[in-house]
Amino acid sequence: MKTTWSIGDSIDLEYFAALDQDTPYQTLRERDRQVVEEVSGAAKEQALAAWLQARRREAGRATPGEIFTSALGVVRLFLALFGLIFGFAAGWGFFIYLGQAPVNVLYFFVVFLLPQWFFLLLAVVALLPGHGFGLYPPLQLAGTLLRYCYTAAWKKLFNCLGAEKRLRLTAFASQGRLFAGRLGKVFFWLAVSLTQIFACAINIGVLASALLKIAVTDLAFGWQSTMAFSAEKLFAAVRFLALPWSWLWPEGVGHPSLVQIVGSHIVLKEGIVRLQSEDLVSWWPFLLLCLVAYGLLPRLVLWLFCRWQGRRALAQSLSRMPEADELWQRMRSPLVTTAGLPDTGGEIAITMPATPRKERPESAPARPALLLVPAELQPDLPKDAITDWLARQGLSLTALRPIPAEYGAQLALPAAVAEEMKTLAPAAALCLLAESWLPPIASFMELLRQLRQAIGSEGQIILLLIGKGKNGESTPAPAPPSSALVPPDDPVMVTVWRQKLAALADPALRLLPFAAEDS
Amino acid sequence: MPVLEIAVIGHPNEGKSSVLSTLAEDDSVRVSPFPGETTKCRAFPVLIDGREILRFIDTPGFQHPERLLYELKKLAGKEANPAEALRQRFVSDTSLRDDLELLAPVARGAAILYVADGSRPLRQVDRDEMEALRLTERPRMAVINCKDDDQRYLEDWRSEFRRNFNANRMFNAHRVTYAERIALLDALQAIDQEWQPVIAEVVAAVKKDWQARLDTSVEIILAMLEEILAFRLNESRSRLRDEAAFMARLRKKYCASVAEKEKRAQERLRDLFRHRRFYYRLAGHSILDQDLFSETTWSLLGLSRQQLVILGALGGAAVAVGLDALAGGASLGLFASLGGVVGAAGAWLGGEQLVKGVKIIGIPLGEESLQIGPNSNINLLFVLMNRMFLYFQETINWAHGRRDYPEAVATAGQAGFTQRWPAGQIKTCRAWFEALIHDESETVSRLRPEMREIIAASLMEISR
Ligand SMILES: Nc1nc2c(ncn2[C@@H]2O[C@H](COP(=O)(O)OP(=O)(O)OP(=O)(O)O)[C@@H](O)[C@H]2O)c(=O)[nH]1
Ligand SMILES: [Mg+2]
Repeated sequence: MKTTWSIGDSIDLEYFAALDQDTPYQTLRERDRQVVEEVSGAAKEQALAAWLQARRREAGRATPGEIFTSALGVVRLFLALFGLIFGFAAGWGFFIYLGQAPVNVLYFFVVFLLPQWFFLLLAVVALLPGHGFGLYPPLQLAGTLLRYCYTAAWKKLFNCLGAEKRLRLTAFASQGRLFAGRLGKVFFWLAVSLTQIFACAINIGVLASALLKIAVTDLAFGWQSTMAFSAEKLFAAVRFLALPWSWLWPEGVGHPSLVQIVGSHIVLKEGIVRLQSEDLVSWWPFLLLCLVAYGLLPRLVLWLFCRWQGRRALAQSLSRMPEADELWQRMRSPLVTTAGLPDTGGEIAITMPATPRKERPESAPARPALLLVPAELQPDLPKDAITDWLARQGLSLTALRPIPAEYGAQLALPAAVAEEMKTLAPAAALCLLAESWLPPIASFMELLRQLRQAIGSEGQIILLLIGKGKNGESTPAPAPPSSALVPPDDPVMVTVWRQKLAALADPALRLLPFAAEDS
Repeated sequence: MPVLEIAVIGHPNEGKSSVLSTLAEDDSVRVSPFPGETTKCRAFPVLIDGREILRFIDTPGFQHPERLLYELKKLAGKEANPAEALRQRFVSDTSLRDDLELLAPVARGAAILYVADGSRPLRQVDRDEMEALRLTERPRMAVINCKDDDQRYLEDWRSEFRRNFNANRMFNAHRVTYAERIALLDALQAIDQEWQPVIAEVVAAVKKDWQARLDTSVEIILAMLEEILAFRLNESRSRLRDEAAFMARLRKKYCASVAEKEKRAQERLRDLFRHRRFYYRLAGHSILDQDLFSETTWSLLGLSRQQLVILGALGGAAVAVGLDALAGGASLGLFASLGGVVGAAGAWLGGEQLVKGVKIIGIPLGEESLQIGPNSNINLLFVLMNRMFLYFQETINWAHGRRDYPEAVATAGQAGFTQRWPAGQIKTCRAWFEALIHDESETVSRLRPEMREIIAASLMEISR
């Protein structure tokens, strides 16, 4: 079994969770428990991985996560190949010696090392904790300007859009933000590590072409300068650069000696005839070692760092993903069947499964739920129907509180609810009952936001949505839900509710429209 | 005199914009099944003779009814204009944007037309809204706009309305007719003593305007009939051309111009009744959409069998027969049966076949040119009238607030409006028709007032 959790797994988890959105809880639980029985005793991550495997098998076609993983492989390979070819071609073009002009060592630094260092510096600054780029006032200013234009554009766009598009757009933007919050970091590190792969490949390409040229052609290196640039100064610089490997390859091997440097000083007027071949070739080990130490190695280190950071971000994202928690919870909750056993006159015959079941992982009991109901609905609420409905979701209705009608009283609600939630088990859910045919108005959305703030970001909030029923279903009228629970009538309104909730960008907020045939 | 403002206010998605659209006869109002479509107040003036007599204001729906009520309660009694005081107080609170926006016209002194969907249960938010509006102390009226036919909650709504509003009425934004619109305006008189004379004037102006539109409609229809019935098309023919093909082309051209003239008249009616989006297209499967000259249309919408018999008996087809002969007798059968030759019995028996041989008469005029029309078949007159009446009926009854424009309106089987006309009217039509096709302009003018009467009476009946 796979042991490491990958980005593809996270993507698939979100994908399958989205697919499951409208599947009745009962069905989900039965399906998910089976997976757990196969991997009994596994830890959360492993159980989730096993669950994903099972779902993928069942899906029968490539899932977004798998597609992403293979695409990522292709991109990696492409970047590596492209970098290699690019570096090789560059090196091949650079190391040319036809007997007149030796390869200029200083050019080598300018072409192959300086730009790399520049980009490396940029990368490190960008990776500095606390927005490295924010350090530069001009960038900060540009950021502010950009943000301003962005909000202005949004406003403009909003004013000319209809309600439908506006809703969809805000929901989409919020979901995007959520997604970025969950996996944004992971993708960031992935992107940076991809650029490192590319850079490594370039370095390797240059190295390879240089080695090949050195092996099969006759290369000469020299240096030249118009400034009165003394050989001693150059030697000092060279010796400094060669420090990391000087213990292994001393002067003369790891880097040219002063004599060799003097001997490879090109003065065009004088030509190169007077220069010694040994001096001219003495440079190459130094150059290649420079490329390794100052080109390739930092990239490798950065790449490893990115991978490590990426893994960390991924692990964090998994622990922050409500879908994962919900799934894990579902896998461990016991199957409760509400249907009573047939009354066989005292004697109850239960056929036991022939094969003894494996030990189940520790079971999570049904989660307690606190239900908030608009005060006006409370007096004749079909409580049993609601209890049943919640039980089918793995929730046990433990308390029912009214949402006061008066604004002044509403203000105190979130704090009171938070207090009460504390007394319940940590996995308790907060449920709210709403009527689908009433449009979700701002005051209600604000209440949701305040409740979330009060109970903290962990606890699940579930919005239960019911309908009003068709004409004649319960005439003469006591208005529903007094008689029974009715599923939402208008699909448009369910969409509206769903998008309004999505716009809150609350990962632990769920919409649950009532469905009569729930199992 | 300041223009009377009426703000249409209510919970989101209850049909405020639809009600306004219908009331103000303006189909450019934005309506959507998604709540929150209206976010800014927008004024829709009602112009009569270019003069603004009334202004409806579309407003966003309530977003914080509880809070609004809570705040208004604190201000009520202390402030002369609680709505304005509230707006002043919370100008900087962006979360209350919609609510303050909808109170703006109220604060300015607009009357309130509260819209609620009576087919859903009444809830606390609605009570809060109504009470908040009551606290603004503006003249107000409620309308129940039932989105579907669920009647279970109507009584709840009514009793709540009685508590908070000066008046309440049913008003279905999708189905109301002109008469119900006037009735609503009439009812507005009751909401405020001070405004009673202003609104009375408005109602009178609207009624007058409606009458003027009916009169114009009559003129449009009459003008179209005169134009089409007297229409003739002259075209010269090259000798080399095949005569049959030429005739066919000419006939097609003739039909196209007639259809074009009819369409122009329809468009004038449509403009007259201020429809910009709605366009009543005669349905593909309905008899009306078939070619104006197709047989089914003629037989179904033209005249009843009985009327054909009457016409036959009138026996005035002699001229037609004469013309017919010129055309080579192709439609001889028809006119023979229409005329006294075969007599009433023939018409009775042949009612169905009558229309079979209908053709436009081509009269050769010398060698170079051919003339087509005028059409000597009186059925054309009745078909055109019936089509126009049907168009008129659909157009005036299509509420401006509706947005479910049909691709095509099915009206198959619809009886012709002229089928119930008494013999006297048919006779007048006939005389007028004969005069038209024979270019007897004096007779045409003499009969025109009578025709005008006949058409006006029909339009009156349809628009009731
Ligand atoms: N069947 C039916 N539908 C209606 C009627 N009135 C309004 N609607 C529909 O109800 C929906 C909302 O109508 P709007 O007029 O946009 O409602 P509103 O109150 O202006 O809504 P907001 O501007 O969002 O506050 C639209 O889909 C209308 O077509 C009606 O009388 N009958
Ligand atoms: Mg609106």
